[in-house]
Amino acid sequence: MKRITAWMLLCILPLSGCSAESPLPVSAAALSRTAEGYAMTAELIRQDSLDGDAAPVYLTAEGESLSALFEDADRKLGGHFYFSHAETVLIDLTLAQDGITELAAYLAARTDARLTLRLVVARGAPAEALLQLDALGESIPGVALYELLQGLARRGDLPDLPLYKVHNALQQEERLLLPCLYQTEDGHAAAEGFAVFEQGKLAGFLSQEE
Amino acid sequence: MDKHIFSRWQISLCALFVLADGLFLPLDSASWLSLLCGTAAAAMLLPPLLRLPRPLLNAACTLLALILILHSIRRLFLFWQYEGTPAALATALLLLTAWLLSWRGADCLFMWSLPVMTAAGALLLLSAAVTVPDWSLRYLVLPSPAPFLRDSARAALGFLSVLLPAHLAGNAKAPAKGLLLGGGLLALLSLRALLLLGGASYAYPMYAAASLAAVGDLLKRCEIVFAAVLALCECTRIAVCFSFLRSRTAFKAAPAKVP
Repeated sequence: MKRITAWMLLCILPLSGCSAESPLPVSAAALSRTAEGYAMTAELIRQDSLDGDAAPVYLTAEGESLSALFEDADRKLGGHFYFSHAETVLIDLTLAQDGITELAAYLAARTDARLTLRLVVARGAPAEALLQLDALGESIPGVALYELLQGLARRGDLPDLPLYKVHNALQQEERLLLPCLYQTEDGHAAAEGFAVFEQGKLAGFLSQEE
Repeated sequence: MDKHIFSRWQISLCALFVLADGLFLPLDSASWLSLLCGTAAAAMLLPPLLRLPRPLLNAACTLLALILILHSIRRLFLFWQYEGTPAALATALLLLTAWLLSWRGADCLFMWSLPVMTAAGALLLLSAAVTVPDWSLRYLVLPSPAPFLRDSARAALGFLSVLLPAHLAGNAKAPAKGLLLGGGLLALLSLRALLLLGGASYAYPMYAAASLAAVGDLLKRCEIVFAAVLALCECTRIAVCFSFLRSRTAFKAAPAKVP
């Protein structure tokens, strides 16, 4: 029986899907609506430098639907679009105005998307531009963004709204406040105020004090 | 059955048998309560069912074993397909493991289930406990009577499949306790999923809720451990079915006694 138990554990281990191969994991993505459908800029982390430093690279993808968009990104990386490390998704105003219910449901249904990833609305600049701004604390802007949002949520400056709470609020057609991101005068990204969503669509903005 | 099967072994095997449903439970606002009521109803119905005439009970359990094997294969295959694992290979490995488990006989399976149930129960409880700070009590609502009664009856009917290990053990009291233990754990997992995910729809809500179990920034994405534990329970369920079918085949193949 001990041998069978060991055999069982050996069988279960490969089913975890973990492997040493994780080329270019995605740390963050910016999504927008276009005339043709959707566009995405994904931040991937390159870890092949000789001095051991990680560096961001950016991939753009397009698609008529969200599934076509992710399929396009996957095709451009030869089937290695590794989304399970993504922790932040920036939503462009074009997409926020069109509605984010479909996006939240799509991400929640993807097995490789974390239910704890954070959605944030880009204000005053395109989402893909905000994603690529220099970060203060980290060499990878997307990672720095997540740490900024996580830190503000822990301090109580932002509502703690990971994807699963957003998805639930949108399905129940509740009013939703998502944090906004803007570009500071010195060229960094900072969080300030909230985007108000009603029936899944952008209904306006609130300042931090309101 | 040659060897004595202790009550705690029977409780463990029946609890593992019931927990096999854990990965595939649907989620609504009252499913945890339906599971609790269904468990209690099934535990009350189990002793009279075990007193049915022997040939009828054997025929019913043989049919049940065949149905449960096919049902388990189907749902595991679909889950692994969804999860992106090579589904055919994973299902074949699981069937082979279940067959190896059943090969040593039912008494060994009962004995083996005690440490496995202890480990599985501890991991499931831990997985639920680490998510407690994120539970939101506003999702708790009173159920509507008609759907609640329908779901409870359906759950009770499903839990009555524990008739199979109970018949294998030749006893009803300890299997009923195992059913209550397994059903109680399932209700807890369902309640956890409700308090975390609310009314949002997911393909596998229990699995989705388990993915939120994390210990700080160090240990995240614990759903793999959760799924592995419940796949182990499914493997045990198939092994019980194989074991029962093997015992029936051996019984039929045994030469008639010379008077």
